[in-house]
Amino acid sequence: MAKREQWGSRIGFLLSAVGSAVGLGNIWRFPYQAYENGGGAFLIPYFIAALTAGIPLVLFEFSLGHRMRAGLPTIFRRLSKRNGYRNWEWIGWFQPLLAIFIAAFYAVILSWVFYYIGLSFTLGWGADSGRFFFKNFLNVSDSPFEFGSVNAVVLALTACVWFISWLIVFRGIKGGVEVAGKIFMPLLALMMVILMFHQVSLPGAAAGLNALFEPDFRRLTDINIWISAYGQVFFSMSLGVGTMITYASYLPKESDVTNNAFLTGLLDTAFSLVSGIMIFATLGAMAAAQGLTVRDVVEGGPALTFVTVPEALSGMPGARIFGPLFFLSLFIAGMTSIISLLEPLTAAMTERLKISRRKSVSVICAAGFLLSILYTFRSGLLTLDIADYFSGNFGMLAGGLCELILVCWVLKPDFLSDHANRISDFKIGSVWKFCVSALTPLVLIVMLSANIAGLFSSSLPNYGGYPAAALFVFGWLMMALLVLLAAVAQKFSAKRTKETLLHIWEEFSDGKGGKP
Amino acid sequence: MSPSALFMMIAALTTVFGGITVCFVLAFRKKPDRPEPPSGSKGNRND
Repeated sequence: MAKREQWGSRIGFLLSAVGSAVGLGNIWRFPYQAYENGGGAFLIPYFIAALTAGIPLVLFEFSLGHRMRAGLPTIFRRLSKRNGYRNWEWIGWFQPLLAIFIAAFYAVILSWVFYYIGLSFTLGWGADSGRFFFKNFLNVSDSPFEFGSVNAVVLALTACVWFISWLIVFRGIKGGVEVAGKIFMPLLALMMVILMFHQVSLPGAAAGLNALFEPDFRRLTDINIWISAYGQVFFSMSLGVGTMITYASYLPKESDVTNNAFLTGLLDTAFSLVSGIMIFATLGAMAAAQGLTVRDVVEGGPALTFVTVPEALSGMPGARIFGPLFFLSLFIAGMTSIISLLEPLTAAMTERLKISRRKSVSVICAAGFLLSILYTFRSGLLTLDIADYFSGNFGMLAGGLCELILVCWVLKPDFLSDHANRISDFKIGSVWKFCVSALTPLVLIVMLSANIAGLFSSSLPNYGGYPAAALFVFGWLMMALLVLLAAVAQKFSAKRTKETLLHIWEEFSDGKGGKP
Repeated sequence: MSPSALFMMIAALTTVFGGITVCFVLAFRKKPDRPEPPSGSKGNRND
């Protein structure tokens, strides 16, 4: 059996794990969420959510990956077989497949960012950045079913994004992913800090920071604020798609997973805070220059990045330097995330289908690129929005919930805490078990139920105002296809591998932990 | 900036960066020497 790859250093693993967690969501989702949910007061539920759900879940995923030292399908297969349950392997396939589904539209967003890096040198979006983005650049159609033609620029740049991702993941964990993390993450941190200090020094920036941090403590009694905080933490830390589990499976045997989990969660939160300061200082300066209030200019999501920020940059000194810097930061944050999204399926195919890493990565990137083409049509922005909504609000939540229920309810999480305590300096116990066995599953169930109820409620409008047929085709159908593919992969892998119980035990007993 | 907004910003940054510093110090401090692993074992502490 081929020797399993390992990280070359602890810092390499940490930077790659943080790179996976830090993505576009830290820059365009966190600041808007904080602003909309009580400003500075939102930070209280956010920190509580990070401490009671985010970091405990990262620790759960690190411990699971490190304890089992395998990809997700192998982990779920072993856990079920060893404890005498039906094969759960398909759940281990669903998360890596979901990761590729997410990577497909993520690559298209990165292609837009790529285009804007070049554009920002000349402020090429002109006087009306909204019109430029929606009409001149993407030429967005009126309906998700009105495909129109492929945008050749977006297609070419998406191919570049996939090629860069392929090049990095193809070189392996130590030679590719770790090297990329060691280069990209310090560079990203440096650029973000430069941008933050520059934007904070602009006239009017204080008004933006007031809008972001002014606490409205009355909002703390609103349950929706707490749900938003837990949701933001869950999405921000790359949970529920198997990246953290797979990354931790490549750690050497005696690695401190508890401290690594705290560092990953805290560094992700630090990036979110720095992004929030940078974005809201920019919005404050823009509002001051136009004689408006921050509320008049604030946006979240792609509109913030591709409309509001370009508009703000146009009227600022040094825009031709700080514009490219902003979009390059965004590109790097996205690249480190997309790289991590490829790893769970790569590990799964290598282990369960006995396909070499290089072949697996090539097949995954080719398939991912083909799926990305769907989002390069004129309807791309609309179909991408639906895919993003369903993968985040249903796929990731369901994936995370399944792994928690199976490991913490059907089995017991003690084998993970015993393992983490054996190799880590910080010791965890009943508080951590309560967080991962009761609190987090409960929050995930509430969030998932609320999302499902919202979609089927006749009194509420459809998500985004899209037709029900579009939500069905680009949302539900895609999720169903992923489940189907996961089931097919389980059947197929059973034929390709003959893993005997003796073999499983021999490999597992090397870990010296208790029986899972 | 208003005092309450400034307080929230400083409190948030101090909490996060303080936590990171503590974790980094614990992670990369020099560990006391451990007894040599028995020959043939695969001891490999990566810190």
